[in-house]
Amino acid sequence: MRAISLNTKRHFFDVIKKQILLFVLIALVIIASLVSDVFLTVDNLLNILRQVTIFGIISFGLTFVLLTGNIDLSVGSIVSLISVMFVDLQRYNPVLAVLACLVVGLAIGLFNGFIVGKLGVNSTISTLAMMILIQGLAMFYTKGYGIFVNFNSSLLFIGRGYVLHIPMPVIIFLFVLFISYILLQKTVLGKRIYATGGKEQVAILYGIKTSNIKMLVYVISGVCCVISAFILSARIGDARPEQGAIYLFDAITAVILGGTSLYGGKGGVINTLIGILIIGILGNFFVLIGIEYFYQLFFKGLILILAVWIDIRTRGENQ
Amino acid sequence: MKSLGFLKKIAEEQLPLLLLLLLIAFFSIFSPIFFSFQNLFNVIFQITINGIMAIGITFVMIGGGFDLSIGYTMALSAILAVNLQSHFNVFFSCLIAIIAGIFIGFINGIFVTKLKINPFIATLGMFITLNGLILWYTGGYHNFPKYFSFKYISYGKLFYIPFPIWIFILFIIIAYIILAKTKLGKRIYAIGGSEDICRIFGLNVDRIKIFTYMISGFTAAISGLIIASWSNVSTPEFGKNTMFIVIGAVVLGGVSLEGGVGGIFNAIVGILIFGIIQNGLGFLNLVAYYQYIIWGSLLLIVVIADRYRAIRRRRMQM
Repeated sequence: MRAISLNTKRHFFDVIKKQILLFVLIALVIIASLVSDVFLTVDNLLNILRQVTIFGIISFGLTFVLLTGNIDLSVGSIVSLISVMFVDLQRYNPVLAVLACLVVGLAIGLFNGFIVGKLGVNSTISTLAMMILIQGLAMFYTKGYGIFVNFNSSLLFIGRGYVLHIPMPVIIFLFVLFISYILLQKTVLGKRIYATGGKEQVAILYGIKTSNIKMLVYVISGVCCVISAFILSARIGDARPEQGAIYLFDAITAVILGGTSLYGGKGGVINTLIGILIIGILGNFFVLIGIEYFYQLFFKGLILILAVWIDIRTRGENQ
Repeated sequence: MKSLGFLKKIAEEQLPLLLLLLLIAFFSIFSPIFFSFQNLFNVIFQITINGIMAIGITFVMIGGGFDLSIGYTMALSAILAVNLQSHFNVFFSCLIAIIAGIFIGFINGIFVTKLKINPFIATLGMFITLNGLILWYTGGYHNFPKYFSFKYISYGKLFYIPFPIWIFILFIIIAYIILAKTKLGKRIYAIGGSEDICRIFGLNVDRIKIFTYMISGFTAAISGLIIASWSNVSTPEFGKNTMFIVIGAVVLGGVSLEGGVGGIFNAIVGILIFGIIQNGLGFLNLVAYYQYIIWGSLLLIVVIADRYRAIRRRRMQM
């Protein structure tokens, strides 16, 4: 009996949190459209969506990792590496490029997962080390140059094509969202992921192989990075080895802001979606009103700190 | 056969020290310049900056905490010491820089103890905030110290040995005495080992932890003075990679990420190892990206090794 009432209390707080964020999102939209005439135009909104897809897909992958109580700081570097690989391998064969990138992404995910899941190393430091290492590998791959390849392959469609007037990246974004939602909310695996993050000891008692779950989420994160990298390279047409770094910051802020707890067990992809939209709109808004880059970073940093602080406070209440 | 077991035991426990000796041997072979007095002297001088910071962060880590903000604390102190010379004299500028460092440490301590924020996150937040603060204050520009006497801090010599090295040695001695010989030191180890038990015993855990963070801020500030004085410039580029190097070195040397383990000499050995690698790599003339790959791999090895040691410690305790 007590277990059930605790659960509904927690659910209630989550619902409240979700509503507050929705409210913030709507408030943002209203303020932005009042301050700038350009904001509510179709072009601008499509622009927001396009900006959002890259870090957004990474955010979905990160959601899985955070739900198990860990973090993945290497996502930016993975995007860097995969995007340079992808652009470069177009020379040979587009299909080969896709397969090779997927294999590398999976391998990196598995490696991260092994270190954190099986060896039990602290995820912050190990993924930080991987971030540095993979960034080095990305730079090694390009030997310092940006790769400019005019690849006329059909794969450009991923970044630039449209399906029924909707940009392809958005379609992919929605697809990833859909799959993630189903996986997390409607399958046994999803419940196991929540259990691993929520109360790991209990999960183990129930027979859930938490080390495998922790490994799997890193693989998912890796795959999401690969997809993002595909979209990024296909959209721009070239790849620079440093470009992934900025996506880490936006992605992690979106996930935490959206309500997925750093401690694990709480949150989900819908939460992350709201976080993604808030970050996307804020970023767009800043550009529209012409704020300098330092201030944007500073402000986004403050938001991250605020989001983390709220996360810690609500964790306290629920325990 | 018994003597072999003894050797094996030494090898396991003093692994970092062995690694250090191996590295010296390796680089000496591959570069004739390496083992010269001039070069070794350079190495020691260069490591004082990271070394002094390492002493500070050792306190924090033994107490079970973590401080990601040391790099930018050092940078802020360096920038303050230089830029404030346009308003104040050298002594006062340095004083303000040091106070700033201690204050940042204090804030970190409050976040971790009173607000109960996870040390990683709290100091990461401080790191980001300091980054923004530094960019805002400097506007992205370099600056040069107004007074020539500022250079004296790192170029001044006592008995032919530069001041920074004296400061480094002094700090090592003080830190060793505090950690190994005083009640405060034992308490810090206790907190790192098991914080809850310390609270039950009535120890003022919060105050001691805040103290460790303030020490970390203080040493970062001193390092900032030295690096600003040595390079004779203040630039927002200071401190970017420092935290990885210092923390990685300290952990490699044997100060555990989990707290309660390690000591000053572990930290120093770690710093020496990293310092020699950095110096030796310079001679091997590697391209920039190799550095990332090597540092990333090194950090990975360090944390995996630390985790391995922690598991073995736990098994041996059972």
